[in-house]
Amino acid sequence: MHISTIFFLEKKLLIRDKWILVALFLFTLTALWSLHNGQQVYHYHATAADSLQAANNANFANVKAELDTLDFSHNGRAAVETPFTLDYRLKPMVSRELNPMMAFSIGQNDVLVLHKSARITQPVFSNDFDDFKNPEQLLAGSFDLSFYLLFLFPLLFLALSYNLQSAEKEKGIWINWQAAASKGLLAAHTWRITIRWVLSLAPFIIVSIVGLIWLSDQYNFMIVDWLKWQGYALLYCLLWLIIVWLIHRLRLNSMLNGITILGVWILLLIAIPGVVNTLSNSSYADSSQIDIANFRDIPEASWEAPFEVHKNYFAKRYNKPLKDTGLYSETIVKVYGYMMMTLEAEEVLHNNMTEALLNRKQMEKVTFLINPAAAIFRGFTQVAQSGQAHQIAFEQKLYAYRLQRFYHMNDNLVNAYRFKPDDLLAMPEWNPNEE
Amino acid sequence: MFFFLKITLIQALRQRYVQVISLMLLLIFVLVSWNGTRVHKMRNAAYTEATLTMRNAWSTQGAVNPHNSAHYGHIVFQPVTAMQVLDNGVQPYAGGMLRLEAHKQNEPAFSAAQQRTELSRFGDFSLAWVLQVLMPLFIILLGFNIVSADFENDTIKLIAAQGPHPFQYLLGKALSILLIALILLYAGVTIQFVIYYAAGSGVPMEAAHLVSWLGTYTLYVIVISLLSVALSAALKNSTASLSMQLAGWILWMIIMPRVTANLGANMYPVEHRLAFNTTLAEDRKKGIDGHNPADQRIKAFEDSLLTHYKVSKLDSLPVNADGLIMQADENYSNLVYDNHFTRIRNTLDNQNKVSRYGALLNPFLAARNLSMGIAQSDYKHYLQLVYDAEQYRRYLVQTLNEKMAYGGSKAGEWDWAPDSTWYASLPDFVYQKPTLKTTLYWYSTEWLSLCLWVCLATAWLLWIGRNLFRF
Repeated sequence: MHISTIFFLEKKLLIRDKWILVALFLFTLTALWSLHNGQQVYHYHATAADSLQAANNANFANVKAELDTLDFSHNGRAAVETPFTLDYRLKPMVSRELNPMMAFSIGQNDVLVLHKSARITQPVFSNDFDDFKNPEQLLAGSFDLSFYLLFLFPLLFLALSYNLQSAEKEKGIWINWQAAASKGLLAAHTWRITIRWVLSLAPFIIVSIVGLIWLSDQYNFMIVDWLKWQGYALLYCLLWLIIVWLIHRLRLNSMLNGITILGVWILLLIAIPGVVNTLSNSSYADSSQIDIANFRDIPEASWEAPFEVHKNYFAKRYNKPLKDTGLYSETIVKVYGYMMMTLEAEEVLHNNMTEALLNRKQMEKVTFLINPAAAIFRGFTQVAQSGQAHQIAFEQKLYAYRLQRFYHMNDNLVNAYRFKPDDLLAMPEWNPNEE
Repeated sequence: MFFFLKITLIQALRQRYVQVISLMLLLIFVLVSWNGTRVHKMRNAAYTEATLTMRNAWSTQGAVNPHNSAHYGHIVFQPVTAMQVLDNGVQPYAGGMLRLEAHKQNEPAFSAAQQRTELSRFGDFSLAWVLQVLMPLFIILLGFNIVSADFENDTIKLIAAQGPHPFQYLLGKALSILLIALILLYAGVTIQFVIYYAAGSGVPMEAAHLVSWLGTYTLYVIVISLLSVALSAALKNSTASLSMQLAGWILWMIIMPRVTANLGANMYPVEHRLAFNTTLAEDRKKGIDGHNPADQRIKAFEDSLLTHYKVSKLDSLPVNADGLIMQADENYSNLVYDNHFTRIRNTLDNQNKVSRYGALLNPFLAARNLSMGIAQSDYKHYLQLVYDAEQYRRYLVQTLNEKMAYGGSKAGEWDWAPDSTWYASLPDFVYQKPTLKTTLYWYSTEWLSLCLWVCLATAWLLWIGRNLFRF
């Protein structure tokens, strides 16, 4: 039987059933809404990032104006030039790099802290720039395009294909197909499933194109990301095509076909990921409460540490005696030691948490062969930069940035005995997109 | 009715797939109960250790100026209660710790979900999850053809010829499913109960809470069982009945919770944090700033103190003006924080109301919300914790400021410190769990919804019964 004939017959069969058109329309609306939800979340964070940058610029301009008015003998210099006060007045805030593909896969970005303070002594415990979280919403999860594709697309495909061939056998009209296709019955059946697969994909394809049009206007969008995302989507959809095709090869009746496909759906999207998560949660239990409790006293203890300890920290970087410039040379040494000790402790706290996360990721990766939906979802979040991998990179980059700023502020003050407006202009800048 | 109950029960229990699925469900109960208890114990141990560490750090902080101590502050951790072993609700998504400090009301931070990967969003298994999601699936498999099979085999005419009332027949069928489901439900909870106590988890579960929790799931199971039988009777076709029930299961369990949550977020967007911080800072500027000596309000406050005590200099005052200024700052900022945080909490509450009212259309949402409410792991209990912690912060900072003001120091004596044992004498934070009555009041929509669904499903069965034996 020629493909065009199969296509013609399928078209007639499908058009005859008005419910299919209604279902396709409803699924297209649902997919559009899922894209809209993703866009809302992306816009929210992109606007927040812009606002933080604007606030950074305003703070920078204020400090610059003040530094411009200072001369070397000014007795108020200490209130402006020392790293601690400079840092306090600049109040630097940073945002994680945002990929507009996040509109397709919000991933873990609704849970994670995407906007943070970049102050050297940023309080680890406060999340002053994080969006207000609604735990009930986080529990329910995001209704984005990746949810649509992972969970809803297979259901539409199930609805369109579960009774293919079996219904015709049950109605006694299968003989027509047998007569028409004669030798190429398997090929004809495969084509018929493929046509219904493409039809099930139609709402997703439409919304992906709408998404692409929207994305092309977004800052930082790269077509290669969209293609990669679609590549993962295609893999997942092909997996379902194979699953449904194999189930059809079992030649079950319509009801058993439906139950089997739904059983696989439950297995792939609920049972296996659920078991893996349950095991991960109990194997890598959250120990942050103890780490935080232990960390709490470190800033205080660092400040109260003997001056010799602070001096040793200072000497590691600045192997020269500090000239008394009227800028409280001893205080600079003490603040330096205090900040370095606190930063080191913070790094330990952060590394403990990161290590547990990386171990967990590794364990999850091992299960990907039997957990394909999770593997695809990880692929989505990697492209959309909405997973833990990017958060870990962000935290590490932020830590390095804070250290870089701290060194810059100290270096100028210690080596040149003052922090000039030009030094402020040369202050390291945060570039969220830089690797 | 009892005849049909007995016959259907025997028929169902003879079915191999019912036996297999029941055994699987019991095995799942054992596994999730064991795992849930293990995780609960670990969380409890972490909470106890963290809380003791914090208390120890507070009590042994040595001779510190009270206001400096207020700045170093205290940390409150998300508590673990016995009931949470049944349902951990929103806990993984709520901040695990809250820093309490002078001048500032912080938001909770470090949620467990932040320490998990994106794959955790597929959800994990708990006893509550099994009861909410798997149990209805089991009931559907038991009930999808419970009446329709009689139509398909034409045995319905024989049954009708024996002269029973159709409602007796339907009720007998429904009760048979219900009995199996309830036995499994109570077995599941008993397994959890036994494992929890056998593991030496210590803290006992509150009996009234446990009974209410069981009551919630009993109502839920009744609703699902009645609906399953009603659909089987209404459609009279097993394939259609199964398709419809599975579609309903997916709609109620998978799609609707996300739809209502995302709809709520779209309808009531939360303002940006920076905008919140900016308006809050502007309002705070209108009050006294304890750490800004140039603040004119401080000058006015100091003048009022000098006038009141009839002295000319601050260090001649019998009290430390700095402590009083700090407290005046606190009193004002508390009003500002109350005003701004109330706005945010109201927005979040409005977002959640969409799911709450959605419970009227979806018994799963009703059972889920009520279950986590009774298990003390819902957002409202969490808000209560945040509220209690804030009241404690205010008490603590006020006590510290008053110690500074009336403890014997003078203005400007920032090195002054009370005896180190004084800090240990201050009471620690205690979380006052809301009562069951309060919880049931909070979730009145949910339990009303479940009762309403029981009535609606029964009414539907009665309505179907009117014409069931007319061929």
